[in-house]
Amino acid sequence: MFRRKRPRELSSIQQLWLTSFSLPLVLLFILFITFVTVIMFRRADRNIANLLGRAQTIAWTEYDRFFSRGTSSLTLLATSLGKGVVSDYRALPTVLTEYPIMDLWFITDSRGRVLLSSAENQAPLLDSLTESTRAAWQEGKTFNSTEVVTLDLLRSYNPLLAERAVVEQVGELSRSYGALIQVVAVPYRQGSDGTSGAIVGVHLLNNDNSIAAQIAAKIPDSFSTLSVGGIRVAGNLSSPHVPTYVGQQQTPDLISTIQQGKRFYGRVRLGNELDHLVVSDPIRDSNGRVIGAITTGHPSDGLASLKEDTVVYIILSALLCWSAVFVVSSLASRRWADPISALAKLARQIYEADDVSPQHLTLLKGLPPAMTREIENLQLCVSRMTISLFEKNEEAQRLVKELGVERNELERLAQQLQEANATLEARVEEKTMELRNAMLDLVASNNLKSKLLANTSHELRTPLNSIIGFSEMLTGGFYGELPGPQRDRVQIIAENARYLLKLINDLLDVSMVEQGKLTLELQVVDLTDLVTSALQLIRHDCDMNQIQITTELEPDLPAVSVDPTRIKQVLYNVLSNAVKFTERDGEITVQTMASAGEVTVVVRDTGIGVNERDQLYVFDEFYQAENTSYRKQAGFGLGLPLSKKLVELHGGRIGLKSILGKGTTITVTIPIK
Amino acid sequence: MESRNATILVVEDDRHSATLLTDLLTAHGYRVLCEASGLAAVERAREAVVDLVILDLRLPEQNGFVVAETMRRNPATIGLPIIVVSAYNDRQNRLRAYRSGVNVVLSKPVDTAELALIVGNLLSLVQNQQDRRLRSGD
Repeated sequence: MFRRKRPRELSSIQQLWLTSFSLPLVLLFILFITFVTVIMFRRADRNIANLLGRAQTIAWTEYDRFFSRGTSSLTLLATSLGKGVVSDYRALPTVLTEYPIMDLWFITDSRGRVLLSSAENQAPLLDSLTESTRAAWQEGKTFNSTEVVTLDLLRSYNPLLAERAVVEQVGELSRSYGALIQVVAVPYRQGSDGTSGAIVGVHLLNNDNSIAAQIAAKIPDSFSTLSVGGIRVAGNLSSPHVPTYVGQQQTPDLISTIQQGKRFYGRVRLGNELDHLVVSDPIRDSNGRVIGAITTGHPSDGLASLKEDTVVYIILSALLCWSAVFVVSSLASRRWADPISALAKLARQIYEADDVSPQHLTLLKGLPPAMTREIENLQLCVSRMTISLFEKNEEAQRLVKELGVERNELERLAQQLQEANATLEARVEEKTMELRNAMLDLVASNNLKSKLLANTSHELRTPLNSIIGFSEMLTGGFYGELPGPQRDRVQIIAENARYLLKLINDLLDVSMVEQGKLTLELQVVDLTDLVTSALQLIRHDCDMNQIQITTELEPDLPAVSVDPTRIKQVLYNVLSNAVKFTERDGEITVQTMASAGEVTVVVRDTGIGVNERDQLYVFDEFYQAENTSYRKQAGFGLGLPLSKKLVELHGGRIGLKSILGKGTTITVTIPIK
Repeated sequence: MESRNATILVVEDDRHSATLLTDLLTAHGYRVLCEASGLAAVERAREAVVDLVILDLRLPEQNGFVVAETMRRNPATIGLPIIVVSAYNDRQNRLRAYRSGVNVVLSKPVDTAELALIVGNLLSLVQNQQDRRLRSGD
């Protein structure tokens, strides 16, 4: 009956709520959190950049500290020499050795030749230092520069110092990294003998972590390195797995940027684990050539972990939010859906049940409370509907019972009706048979009538033959001349016999037409000829009664295709009728005319006329007019009815108009074929 | 042979009609023989000298058509003029009569004057033919 297991393609309120409202809400939430986080990270990055800027400033300050301290120390010595506080430059080494920052020192004359040195071998000053010295002396001012020297040169000065400059872990990479040194040259003039030259102090930066220590002290977690030709020679860069990155090569993009003499700012990855934000500045020698770099950085390892955490936090909070929304909306939508579901359940119980029972009415009371006005309305409507259904069901059952009683009665009546019907059918059949037989009888008797008529008319001719024949012979004097009155009476016998003969002939013709046995022998003829010859037949009677005949014959009458004998018979009938009913000294007018497709013959007389009622019947066979004047004239006979049949057989028509006492007009119309 | 002396055979079963025809023809000077049946008429025409036959169509034993056909088959009567006077004067019967060898068909009731003229004409026609044959035979 009902498919209860329907595919769950329709969404419930709950689904609808989740998909159309809560899910977009959660997505929006995630979008918002992400947006805020990105802004926060941007700000954090900017802060780190500021921090690094500061660290780099500190690094440079620390880097410059040697120059300033060296300059002031050496200037103090030069001044001492000039004022004669220190008698001779030969007294200087004891003082110079006390300056721990001077890893190497030289005292030159004004031509740059080394007078005294801390170097073990009396090696000449390296060229660049010589230049510096000369410049310092000649211009009479201090000179600071950073230079790179080979380890071999350094070793020739002082093997111990060279050992200090060796950077661990460079390994097989290269030994051509050289030593980064800071040079301070101060000119001096000896007071006693006027000897002049320069005091040159050298500080080796390789493996010197003092800058790094300062940075680390001021900015925790930060690092700083010095590099020569892209290889770190000092610094505190390390990771939990690698104790130090000194002696390793810097990243290629940093090296290339430094080589171009620009500041590098960016992210640097060490190995596979550490991300650093790094600022690096090039270090130039006295010729302006880039020889190395000073770099500070801050591990962004903390930032990266912070970012991952944030993503986790975002996802977690989104999930939390979503589940909260899910739970809340599930609860809410269930509270909305429950009353509807309850109503649906009730409705299903009602339609699955055969009828509404009082049990369903009690179920109505157990419906869950409605949450909204709409649902309350719905509950109210369903309640009313159920009650109404219940009442109607009761009513219907009552009616069904009543109908059951009526139906029995009806069935009984139907039974009776069927029986009556059967009887009726039998009677109808019987009557139909009777009717059919009667009709067959009628047809047979009609045929018999026609046959009888034909036979009788033949039989009647034979006695008429004798009557007419003998009458003619008597009046013709074959048996001797008859006296006048006898002769007249025999004449009357002959006339009546001839009239009788005409009646018989007409009767025969009518009978043949009715039987359909009369066949026309059509010829193309001029109707005028037929009219003329018909007029010939009545001329004698007209002369006898002094009736004047007027003809108005159309000269160019079209030829018609007719049976000449029959049309002549018609014309004769019409004309003799006119003669018969026209008084003495009357007038008969015969007119022919042609119209569209037709030829018409009009015969007008000034006779006694026919009254209006009889006009309707003059073409009926065996009609006996009641007018006494017809009886006097022996009636119409069969002439007009036969004429009508013959004209209609030709497809034409015949009509009669008459005014009583004034005359009659008969119109014969024949189509031109 | 004078036409006035000609012999006419009237074949008519109606007594009154026979009398009428006999009176008429006798009055015109003809010799009249009467027969009431077809068979007898055929017999009579073969035996006696007859110049013309007036025949009714409805006859006992043999009808007029058969009588006419029989006469036309017999050499003795082959050239005999035959006039039919009958009540059955419809077209079908007229045509059948002519096919049977009848010369003229008249309907009953007959116009006595017309009949007398036709008889006279036919007899003089036959007479002229016989005269011509006699002359050519000589």
